[in-house]
Amino acid sequence: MFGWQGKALRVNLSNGFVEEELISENLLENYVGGCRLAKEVARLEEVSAEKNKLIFASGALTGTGVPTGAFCSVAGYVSLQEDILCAPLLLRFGPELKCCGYDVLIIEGKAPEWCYLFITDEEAKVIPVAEMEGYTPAEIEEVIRSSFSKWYGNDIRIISIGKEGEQPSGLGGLVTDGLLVNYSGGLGNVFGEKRLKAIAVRGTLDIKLAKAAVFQKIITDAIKDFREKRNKLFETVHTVFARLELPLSREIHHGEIEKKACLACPIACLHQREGKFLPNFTVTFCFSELLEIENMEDALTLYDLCEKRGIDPVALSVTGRMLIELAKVGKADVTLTPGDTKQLVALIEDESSLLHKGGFWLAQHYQSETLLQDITKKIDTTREEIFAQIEEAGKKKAVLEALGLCPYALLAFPYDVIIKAFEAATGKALEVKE
Amino acid sequence: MYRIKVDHTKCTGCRYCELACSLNHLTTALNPKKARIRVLREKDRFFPVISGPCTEAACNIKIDIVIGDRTYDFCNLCRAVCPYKEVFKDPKTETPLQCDFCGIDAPGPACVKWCPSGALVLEEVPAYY
Ligand code: SF4
Ligand code: SF4
Ligand code: SF4
Repeated sequence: MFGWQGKALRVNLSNGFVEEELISENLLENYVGGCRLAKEVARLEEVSAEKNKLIFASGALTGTGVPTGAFCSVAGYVSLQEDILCAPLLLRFGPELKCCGYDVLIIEGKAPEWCYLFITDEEAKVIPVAEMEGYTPAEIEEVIRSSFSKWYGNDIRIISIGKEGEQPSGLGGLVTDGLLVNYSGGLGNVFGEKRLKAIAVRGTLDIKLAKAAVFQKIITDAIKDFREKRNKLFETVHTVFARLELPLSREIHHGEIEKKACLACPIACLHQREGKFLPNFTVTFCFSELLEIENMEDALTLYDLCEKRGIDPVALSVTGRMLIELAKVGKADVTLTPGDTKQLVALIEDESSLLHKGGFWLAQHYQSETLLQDITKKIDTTREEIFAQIEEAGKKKAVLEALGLCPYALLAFPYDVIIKAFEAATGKALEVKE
Repeated sequence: MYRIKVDHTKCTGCRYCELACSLNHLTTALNPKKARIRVLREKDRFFPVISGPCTEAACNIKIDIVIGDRTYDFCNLCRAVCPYKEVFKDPKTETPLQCDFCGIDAPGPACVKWCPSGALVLEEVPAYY
């Protein structure tokens, strides 16, 4: 196959059994990537509360060099939400898994003790690491990388959980190579249920292209065009941010910051200061609009705590807002004043606090589903603002997401470049169904 | 003559250069581990390093390099394909991979063409340089 590797890896943590399976071409063609593929595999695998599995799925374009072709989706059944959740993993985990030879990874069973899974193109093994319980994601990454040579460790991509994922919680998220995964709240706890502290991957296999020369020309031209229009793109993004009036974003993203990118992304929307990722646009919006945090120090302290404990900052903000509103009307017995980071930190540190239940549980328990919908809609509407100037943005975004690409690609690249690149990479025409 | 100028302060770690180099040499596939340029990470910085000459022994100087107010491990900036450093070797055959400049006329250095940030730039330098 071209673009895809055509294989899945199944790992059973209960007995350490590892199996390679072929994936039907039909399945990959109908579900080309992203959460659609991950959720379809979850459906076929009959993932449920009783039969919970973690599904990782990369798209046809992941790792090929198509702009933003870096994402891999992770899905699992989150008990506190009574549903299968899926989140996109940024940076390079998906491409690395593909270089190990797999488009899909299925993890089932429960390890007898805390462990991490190490996958290369030659083997996959479950490594017991009882001592890692309670480690922060940064500590786990350090321990895993330092057990190999410096050069080998440099090429290992890692997903891990912190303390929050080790316990039943609606906030336990994932961290990949130091970056918190937005919208992964609850998935970290699926890792925890399985006593899986981390997954580390390093692959050396080729990703084959159907029409390599055509593909190379498409990408060369697209990057040339991007370089010429780069300043205009950044202007557009600044205009959108200015329109949204996010003073916190201006504060966080000014001064000595460094732009970082996912694999094959010219946009590089991620920012670091002194080696640490800063809250991105969505998180900044959540912190300032939902939690009403006004100053940068508080926002960074909170983000740092999220990183250390492995808390999804979006789930935290949604749940925090729910508690603020529920406390206002006297439904929930909790003290949480908007903008008070100290109170929020105290609730995070109190493992029995309502905050750890997550937004969905609170909505059900206090019959406040509409409140939850309103809060999540607020985030979605703001994210949509970014694409306001793009024609048929909804449809195009859906196609990009189905391909497992970052929707921000639409801000910098013509849609038809992506479609042509898909055809050159896979040798197949992309049929978009409503 | 031409040289590739590397500005690590502009590098975002997108690895487009690795993808481009591997595609240009493998011709039908991509594989960053087979690229002749590798983006090495040192602390919070990315250093695109273009593979240079192959040496039979590891060097014994192991000095640190100071850039601005930061100190870096020299090994991360060194271009040598040495026995100690496994990054510039084919992962299966262990054949050293050395930059061949892609043929300076057409198609030109693939890594420079795909670097979107301006961290890699092709520069003309005097021939005696
Ligand atoms: S735009 Fe940002 S999130 Fe999207 S692929 Fe690029 S760096 Fe990653
Ligand atoms: S000039 Fe060509 S061979 Fe050398 S690193 Fe760049 S892409 Fe690779
Ligand atoms: S393509 Fe350019 S910006 Fe990207 S990693 Fe290579 S040198 Fe850095």
